[in-house]
Amino acid sequence: MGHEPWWAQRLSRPHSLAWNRRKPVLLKTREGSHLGLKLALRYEIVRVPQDRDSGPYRVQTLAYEYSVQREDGTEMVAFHWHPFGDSPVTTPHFHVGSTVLAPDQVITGKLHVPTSRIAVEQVLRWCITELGVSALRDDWERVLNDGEDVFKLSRSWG
Amino acid sequence: MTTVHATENFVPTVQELSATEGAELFDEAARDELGMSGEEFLAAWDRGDFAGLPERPEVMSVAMLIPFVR
Repeated sequence: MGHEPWWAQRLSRPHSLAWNRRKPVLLKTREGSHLGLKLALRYEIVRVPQDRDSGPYRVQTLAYEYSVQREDGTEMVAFHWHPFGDSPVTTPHFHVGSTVLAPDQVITGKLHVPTSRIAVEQVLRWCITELGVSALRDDWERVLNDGEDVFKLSRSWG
Repeated sequence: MTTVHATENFVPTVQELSATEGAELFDEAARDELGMSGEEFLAAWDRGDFAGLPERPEVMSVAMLIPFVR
């Protein structure tokens, strides 16, 4: 047996990624106001030696939380997928934030509205195209499309 | 176990947390979201105290981070 690389023990077990130490990243809109974006992922590194294009290792998403907030930290919408633990909701869904709901509405922020699997690129694109967030680079569309293409090619489901 | 920061030039940097730093981040998350320590959350999670509570997304927000401590 050869000497194992330092990261070998990290293969095929869950890891967490907390964007900006769980604090929302402020996104400036074209109108000058701000939105907050919180991202967290569970992922694993898997060995895919048969994959000549993206192998021999790949990062595979195990769960995600993408939350878009107002500047004061109140949630507008959150995209979740957490197929672990005892939660009865293991499929991708979103929660409507309290900021966009009237208290007497049938839909509440606690409901799980079903979605397909969402890539972070889709959330970023939505923030730019529909929520008025200013892109930091002119080629943002190409960058997001390229990232999403990789996601679509390598995802194992959804 | 990683955390990503936005830098001044907006290029993210990735910081891999030590076990101690990961535990601190996890504890902070449990206190922020649920008002309990990280250890208390893990004990409650293992006992199944949160099972069948889909109306509490904040529980899953903390549970997302369990790999920081296990």
